[in-house]
Amino acid sequence: MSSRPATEPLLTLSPDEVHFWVVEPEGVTEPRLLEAYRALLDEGERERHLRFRFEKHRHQYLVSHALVRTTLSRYAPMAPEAWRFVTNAYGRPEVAGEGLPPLRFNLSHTDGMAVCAVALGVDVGADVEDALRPGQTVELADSFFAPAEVAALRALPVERQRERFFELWTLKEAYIKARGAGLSLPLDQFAFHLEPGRLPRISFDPRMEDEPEAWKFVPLRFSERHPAAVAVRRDRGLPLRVRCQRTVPLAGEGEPWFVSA
Amino acid sequence: MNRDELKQAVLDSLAAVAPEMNAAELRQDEPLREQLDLDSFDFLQALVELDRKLSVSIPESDYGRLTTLEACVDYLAGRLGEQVH
Repeated sequence: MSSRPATEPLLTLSPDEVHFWVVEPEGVTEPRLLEAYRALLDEGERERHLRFRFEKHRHQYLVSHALVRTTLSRYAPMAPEAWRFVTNAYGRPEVAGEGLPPLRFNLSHTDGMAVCAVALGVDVGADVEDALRPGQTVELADSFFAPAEVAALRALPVERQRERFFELWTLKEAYIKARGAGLSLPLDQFAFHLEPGRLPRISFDPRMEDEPEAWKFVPLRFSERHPAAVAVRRDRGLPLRVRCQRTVPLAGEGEPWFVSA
Repeated sequence: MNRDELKQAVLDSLAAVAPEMNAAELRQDEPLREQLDLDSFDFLQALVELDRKLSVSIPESDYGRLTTLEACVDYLAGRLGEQVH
C-alpha cells in the first residue's frame, strides 16, 4: 500500500455508488499509529474502548473506529477527530450535524477484518464475517432463519452448507443493519433467494412491511475466509456500483476495485 | 430455579461463545455485549444454549432487555415465571 499525501483531494460519492473500505486490524501494530488512532476517539468511544475485557477486542475497536473517522473525512472537509455521532434507539450510530454531505455509513468487524460502507443519503448496511469462526451454523439457521432459507440450505450437500450459511447470514445482517433495528427484526420474516449468476433476491413476510424492489443487495468477498455483503435502499432496477478499497487508516491505501450490481 | 442458578446458566451459555471469558472478571452491571465484544452471531448462539439449558424461548422484541448479567437474570426469572411448562 502506498502512503497517501495529506493534500489528496476529497473523494466524491454519487447516488449510484457505495464505497467499501477494508482494513485488517491485526496487521496494524505500529505503536505511533495506534496512539494516533486513540487521539481520534471522542470521550464516549474512549470509555467504550476501555470496557472490553480483552486486548484483542480493544484493538479491533480502536482500528475500526479510526477507520470510520478517517473514511468519513475522505468525503467532507472535516478532521477525523471532529466527527460527532448520534445513535438511534437500537444503538446504530449516524453522523450528527448539518451542513455536510448526507453521509451514511455502517461498520462491521470480525476476526481479521473490519469494513466500513459509505453511501450518500440512503440506508446502507454492511456485514463481514469470519467463516472459520467456531459455532453452530446450519443449526442456528434452523432456529432463526426463514423456512425457505432453511429448506434451500438443507438441500445442499453437507460440505457446502456452512459456506452458504455465511452467505445468507452476511446478507441478513446487512439488511437488518441497513434498517437500523438490529436483531429486533425477526430473521425468519424475510428470506434471501440465491441463484448462481444472479444478484440475491429478498422476500418479506407481510408483517415486515417492506418492499423487495426497494433494495439492492451485493455479496462480496474480501479474503478466502471473509464473506461480506452490503444492503442499500435503492430501487432494485437501478444500477449500483460498489467501490472497494483496502486501507490502513492514516498510513496508506491500496488501489480501488469495483463491483457492479 | 433461583437467581444463582439462572446466573450460572447465563455464564455457561456465554462461555460457549466466548470460551476465553473469565466469569469472575465480568462486571455485573455493564453491558455484556460491550465487555465481551459479542456480535449477533455470538448472541444467537448464546440464546440457543440458554434454550437448551432452561427451555426458554425469548421473542426478538425482548432481546433489548438482555444487556447486563443482572438484567439477563432479572429477565429470565420473569420469563420462566410466565412460561407454562
